[in-house]
This record gives sequence, structure tokens and C-alpha cells, in this order.
Amino acid sequence: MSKGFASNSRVVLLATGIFLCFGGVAVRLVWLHVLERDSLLKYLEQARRSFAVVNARRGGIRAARGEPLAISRTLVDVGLDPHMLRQGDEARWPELARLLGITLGEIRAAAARRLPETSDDDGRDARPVQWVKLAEGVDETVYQGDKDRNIAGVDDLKIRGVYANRVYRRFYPQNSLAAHLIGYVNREEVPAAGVEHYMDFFLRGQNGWRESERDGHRQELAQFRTREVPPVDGFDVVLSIDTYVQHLIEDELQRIAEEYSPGKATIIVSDARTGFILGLANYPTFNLNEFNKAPIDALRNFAVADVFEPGSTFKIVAASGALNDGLVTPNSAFNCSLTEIDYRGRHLRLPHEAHNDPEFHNLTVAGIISHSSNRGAAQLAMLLGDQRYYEYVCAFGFGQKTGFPFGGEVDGLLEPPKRWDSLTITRMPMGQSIAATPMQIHFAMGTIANNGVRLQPQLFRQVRDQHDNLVFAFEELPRQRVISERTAQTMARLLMGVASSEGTAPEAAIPHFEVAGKTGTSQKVIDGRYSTNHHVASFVGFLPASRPRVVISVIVDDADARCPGGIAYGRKVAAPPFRRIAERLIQYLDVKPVDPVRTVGGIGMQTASR
Amino acid sequence: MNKSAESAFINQLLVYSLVMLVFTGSIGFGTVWLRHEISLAANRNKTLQAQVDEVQRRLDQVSAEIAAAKTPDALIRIDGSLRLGLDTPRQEQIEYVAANVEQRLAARRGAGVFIAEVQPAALRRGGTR
Repeated sequence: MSKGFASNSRVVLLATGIFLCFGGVAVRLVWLHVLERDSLLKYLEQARRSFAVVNARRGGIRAARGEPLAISRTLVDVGLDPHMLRQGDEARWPELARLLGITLGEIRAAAARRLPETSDDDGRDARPVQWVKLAEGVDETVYQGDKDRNIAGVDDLKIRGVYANRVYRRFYPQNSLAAHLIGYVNREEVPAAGVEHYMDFFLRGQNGWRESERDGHRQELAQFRTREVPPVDGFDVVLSIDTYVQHLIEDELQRIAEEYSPGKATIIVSDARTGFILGLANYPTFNLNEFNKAPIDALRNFAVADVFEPGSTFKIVAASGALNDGLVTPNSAFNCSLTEIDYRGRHLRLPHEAHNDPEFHNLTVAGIISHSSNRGAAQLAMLLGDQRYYEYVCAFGFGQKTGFPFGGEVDGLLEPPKRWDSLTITRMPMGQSIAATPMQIHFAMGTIANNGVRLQPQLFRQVRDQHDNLVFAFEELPRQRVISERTAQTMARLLMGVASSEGTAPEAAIPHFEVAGKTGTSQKVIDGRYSTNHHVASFVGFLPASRPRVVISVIVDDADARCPGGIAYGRKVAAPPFRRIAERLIQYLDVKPVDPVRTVGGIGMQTASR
Repeated sequence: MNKSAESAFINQLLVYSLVMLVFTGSIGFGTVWLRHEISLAANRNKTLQAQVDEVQRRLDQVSAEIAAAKTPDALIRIDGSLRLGLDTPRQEQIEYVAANVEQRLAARRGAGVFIAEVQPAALRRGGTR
């Protein structure tokens, strides 16, 4: 026996045992890691591997002064697993029903649904029901309770088998405010309309993901996270909409609806110098939080998606064109009592006049505007000629999209001169034989307010990141110069005559604030004929005429039924709301009064004195 | 120590094996401890992240409630229920001031300062007590 630590045989035995153990382990390792590797990895992939998408928070939509118009928040869908319920928890079901706002019977019915209703009669192939929804869209405070105020929530009831799924839902705190602009995200989290859809690229953010493993209880094992990409939250979009202005015009629309019960109506308010939309509202409207309950018609953005004959508001085109080309001056006089006229070798009948005042036999351009003479407008267009007049119509933005970014904007209807019939040159200047959207009419008037340069409607102010840093700022977008600055200023002064005691809309006048505008009362075409019972009443204008701040359009469709005499005149239906809105905006925007000069700078407003 | 070549090798092997066993065992235990600590830290992070998420959810909830409470409709309802009678001024109630507003306000604010009659200061002339 050696004098080592142990006898040789024992040492050999021990060493053999140890090496056998190591060998066994090694064999097992080779077995697991080499021979069975693929099948075991496949099993692991299925059983333990976890790939979770981490949702990015959708950015918010804000009004110009920062008020949230659309935000994301988590809501809770509460449900139960009928197989996991315990008898002892039933005493707490009434409290659960109370918190969720459902009946106890509904909970009992949900608890009884252990197999799907669509299973075979035999019950074969029917997997047990593991989730029955009790309530969706439950507030966090209802589910979690409020510890600070000692209010118990669903979670505090500790009912086994009652689970919650958290979902991001879009919330529109202002309900129906600016509904046609904001749009909505539907239940499938798909942005379906409005800013939500158009600016989705900025709003949606970028989802992250996380790769890890989970245990037998399907819980994630955080220590096995192998790869993780954090989500990038969406940007906030700041609109040019001012909530005060928006609320003001929506109130006014509601008042119009109560007073006249029109088919539809729209009001647009924009900044005269930049084209930024301060407010845009349609009637009928809908609640964004309940968009699925709104009738399809209420979802339409009437301001850009529907067309109508603009009526007398369109007379600004002929007058501006003739003045701009130097064919007339504000004091040029026309015989507007004529019923027929010769034009390029053709004998044409002139349209009827709404009023047949004796002074119409000698009406100045200023008078044509203030009295809204159909024949006067026709003669101004004839002075320009078909082609030149058509060019002005196009330059004012008719027959083409204004560039409003969404809402299904349409071009309107405008035929080129080669497709005009002989009467078109007499009818189009008074706003017939053409169809335009309210937005086109609004920005045509805005061209005069902006010293002759037509602007593109702008709705977006800024894009900001989640830390409120500016990402992108939107600027005004001038489209084209339509008339000279001088012509625009002359037109502005002439349009002041409309909102005067001599004009067609004294109801729109506000002393010392130089309201410039134009009324419109267009007959609707019903069954191919101009109806005498269905009209579109409008008033489109701006103020103050000498330094315009805001452009306001009020357009009311089919308000005849409740109007005295059965005709909805722009003067009666649209001008008073225009004035009420303008009065409020004067205070809100701090529009300063102009010296009380009500004359039109020496320009004769009525008949020319010969 | 008198070592025969045979037993010395086995003894050395045994010693080295035991040393290696202890060494690898301690590495193994160290790794297990390390992984346990990693697991604890990861779970703590996960819990913290969950808490942050919950706070964020609460913030969203409160933001939504504040936004809903500040809507024009809600404010009008409060005005009605509290009978405050708040309204924007009518156009005829407004007086536009053409003069410099700061000077006008300063004049109005300072108007009361010198209302009391100014007593002329009496100056003694000459002489000492």
C-alpha cells in the first residue's frame, strides 16, 4: 500500500466512479446538445420563446392653443374564465356587477358559458370557453380603484377567474367639436378619417418588440430577454383650429339648425392673411366618441365634399376681372333694366333680377355689387369675353381642388368655354352653370381679403415630438396672384356696400368694423329644373375691409321650409349668423375698430349721377 | 512524502480532480448566483416598468378627465349650475380706448396717491437754540 491518500484499489475505484459520473453527464450533454438538439430547440421555441410587440403610444391632436382634441388612453376590457371561478367568490358578484354597470344576470350567464355555443351537439371538438367578455372600455379607476380616495375597484374584489385586457383607445375629450376635421380611429385601431388618417404617419409612432422566454404559467421571464427594441411614441399634431372659434361656429350652426332646420349647413372661418383655418364646422355633425352610431351622411365634410351653385357670391369674379383688366371703374355705369343684349353677334336673353328697382337702368359697378344685379354681373363678364372670364374663374380657384388635405375634396363643376351654350356667359356670372364647394367659395373671397393672392387652406400648424420639441412647422401657402393689390382693395371697398343700408345685407353690418361680403341665394336643381322652394343661402365676407383679419363663410342648404315666404335668402338666413360670429371674433381676436367712415372712399355706391 | 509513480499519479489526479471539482463547482454556484441576481434585477426592472406604465396610464386617465372637464360645453354647464352668469361682453358694452393704454391705466391707478392736500414744508431760517 502506498503512503498516498488512499490505497490504489480504492483510489482507482473512486476515480473510476468520478469519471463514470462525469462520463454519464458528458454523454447526457452530448445526447441533449448534439443528438436531440433540433427537436428540443423546436420544443423550446414553441413552449418558452416569447415575442411581444410593445405598442407605441399614438400621438395626440391639439388645437392651436394646446387644448387636446384627441388623446390615447388605456381602457380595460373585463371578462371571466368560467372554468376558473370559485364558488366562494359569488358573494362578490353583485359588487362586480355594480362596478361594471351590468346586471348580476349577465355575470351568471357569462359564468355558465363553459362551452362555445357553436359546438357540435355531441360537444365534440368544442374547446372550453376561457374568456367571456363582461364589459369593454372600462376606466382604469373603475378597474384599479383609487387608493388615494379609498375607492375599491374590480381588481380589489380579488375574484378568481375575472381578468382584464388593457387596450389603447382613442379618446376625444371635446366630443363633437371639429368632428369632421379630427376624424377618428375605428375599433380595429385603424385611422379611418380626418387628421387621424391624413397625419397617421406622424401620429402612429413605431412599435417596439421584445424577445424573451416565458415560464410554464405563460409569464415572461425577464432575465431571458435577448433582444429588445423600445417603442417610439407618435408625434403630436397641432392644428390651426382655435377651440373658441370652433365652439362659436358650432353653436351658431346649432342655432341655425333650431331656427331653420336646414338639410345641411357649413361655416368656415380662416385667417385672411395666411389661409390657416381657425374653425370649420358642418351640420349635421356627430360625436367622435360614438362615431359608429352616426348616420353616414353626418360623417361627410360638406365643406369640401359637396357642391352647389354658388349664386350671387360668384359675382365677385366678374367684377374683379373687369376691374383688374381696366375695362371698368367702380363708377362705370350699366343699364341693368335690359332684358336682352347682343353679344358677339348673338341676341341673348339676360337673367331675371331679384329686385326690379327703377335705378337699375343706370347702375354703377359698385351698385351692381351692392344690389347684387344679375344683369350687371352678366354684362361685366361679357366685357371680359368667354375665355378671359373663364381664366378668372379658374384663377379664383373654381373647378379645381383647393388643396384641403382630406375629406374627399371634389373639384366642383366647371366646363371650358368651348362647351358652353349661348346662355352660359349670362348665367355663370350670377353663380349658375357652375358648381363649387363651400371651401372654394370661401377661398375665392379670401383672395380679395389677401390683396389678390389666392391661398391654399392650411389646417396644420406644427408637428411636435413627445418632449414637445418642434419637429416641423407649417407655413402659409400662396397659390397664385389672381388680381392686383389695388383691384383687391377696390373690391374690398365695393363689398362693404353689400353690408350697408343700401346693400343686400345690412344685417351683416357692424358699425366701425368695415364688414365686406357678398350674399348668395341660389336655387337648387331638383329633377332637372331650378326649384323655387329649395335654395342655398350664403353670406361670405371678411373684416375689416381695409386690413382684413378673418374671412367668414356661412352657407345654409335648404332652409326654406321655416323661412318667411318660403325662400331662404342669404340676407335673412346667413347674414345674421355672420354678424354674430364676427362680433364675437372682433373681441376675441382684438380687431380694432376703423374710423367711422362708412362712405366708400368717394366711390358712388348706387346709381351714377349723370 | 514517499510517492510511488503509480499512486502519485492517481493521488495527483484525485487532488486535481477535487480541486477542479471545487473550482468548477464554485464557478457553477457563482454562475447560478449571478443568474439569480440577474433574474432578480430583471424582475425588479420589469416591476418598475410596470409601475411606470401604470403611472403613465393614470396620467393619461387624469389628462383625459382634465381635458373633458375643460371643454367649452363643460364650462358652460358649470356656469349654469353655479349660476355664475358668465358671458362674453356684447359689442355695445365695449369702449375702445384710442389713447395710450398704459398711461391711462397709470393715471387711473395713481390718481389717489396725491389726493390729500400737500402741506408746504416750513423751513426755519437762521438761528440756533
